[in-house]
Amino acid sequence: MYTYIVEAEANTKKYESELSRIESRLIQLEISGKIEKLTILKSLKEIINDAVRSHSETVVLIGSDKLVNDAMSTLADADVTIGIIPVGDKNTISEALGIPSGAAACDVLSARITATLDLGKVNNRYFLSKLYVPAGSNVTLECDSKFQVSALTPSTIDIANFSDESNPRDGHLDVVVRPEASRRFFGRSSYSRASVFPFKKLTIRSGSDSLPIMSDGETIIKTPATVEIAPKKLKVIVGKHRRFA
Amino acid sequence: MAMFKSDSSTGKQGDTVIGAAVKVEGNFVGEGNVIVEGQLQGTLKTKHNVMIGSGAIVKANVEAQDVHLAGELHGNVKVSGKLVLATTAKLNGNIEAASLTVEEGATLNGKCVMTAGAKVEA
Repeated sequence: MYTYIVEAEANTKKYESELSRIESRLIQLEISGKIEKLTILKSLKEIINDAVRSHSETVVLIGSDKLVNDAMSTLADADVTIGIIPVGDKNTISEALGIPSGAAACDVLSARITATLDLGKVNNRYFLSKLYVPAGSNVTLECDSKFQVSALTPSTIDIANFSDESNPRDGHLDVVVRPEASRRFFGRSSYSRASVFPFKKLTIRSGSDSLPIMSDGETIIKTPATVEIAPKKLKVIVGKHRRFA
Repeated sequence: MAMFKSDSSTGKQGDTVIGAAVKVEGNFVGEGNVIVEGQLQGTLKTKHNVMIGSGAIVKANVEAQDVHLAGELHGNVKVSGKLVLATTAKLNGNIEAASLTVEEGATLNGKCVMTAGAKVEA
């Protein structure tokens, strides 16, 4: 059985015709199921837990990257396969998974090629793609309890499970320390090369200042924090043109 | 050295890059190639290759397959393959290598033992 969860932003007049096309295509492909629309009164966690209790084998998220990220912490511990139908503007996760936007994604669901992916975990919250920490001073990273990295200049930090630099099936996360522009030559900013460290477990500290750790533009936690890999945690339906092996 | 792309901004997937704006302290065990352009203190081990850039300062024993040294290294080097000391290299430590290239201008203070293929364990 399929459960479809529609993001509140996708359930608006702007996407009304797109949602109709999606529903029609799901019926044609004989993979229609229960459709749940997110509202202020219906929480995502509640809907996913209901779907698991009613033995839904597949939970399909209809919306943007934000819906996918918000659903991760609940879906990570559920024994379900996850599908995505991208609707809206920001769909970098589904692009990387090889899933086209709108009704075309229904054909990917129907083909049902699945991949088991790693997830990242920051404190007790899971993430699929990446985290971002804005530039701050006195930032230190303790990697795998073996070595410590200190940023010598204010630097931004990306922690990626799934990006151009990171493969979500390799069993580790990557931390990228990117120095801010430090000086300008002839009007052009000059950057030092970014540092990259693969790791399984990392602790971020920022001295006495607390820095935000952000996912998809929202602060989800503050430093100090521990980030670790949760290997082979998520079964996802992917497209043929996904960006990883 | 063809094993590294010097124009790449962050190296390739699985590589470790220690940029000029960071300092690393501790026992670093890499699973891929390691590019050092900043500061490293402790130990450095990988079954793959290590490139130490001209601005890098490394105070560590290094074990790897091939090593290309253009910066400053205080510590012993054990490689199962090739060790190249570039013209800007400064090495204060002993060498164990199967193959050694020393370019004009490089500084070497230490003993050198040539092996048929020193075993590197990481």
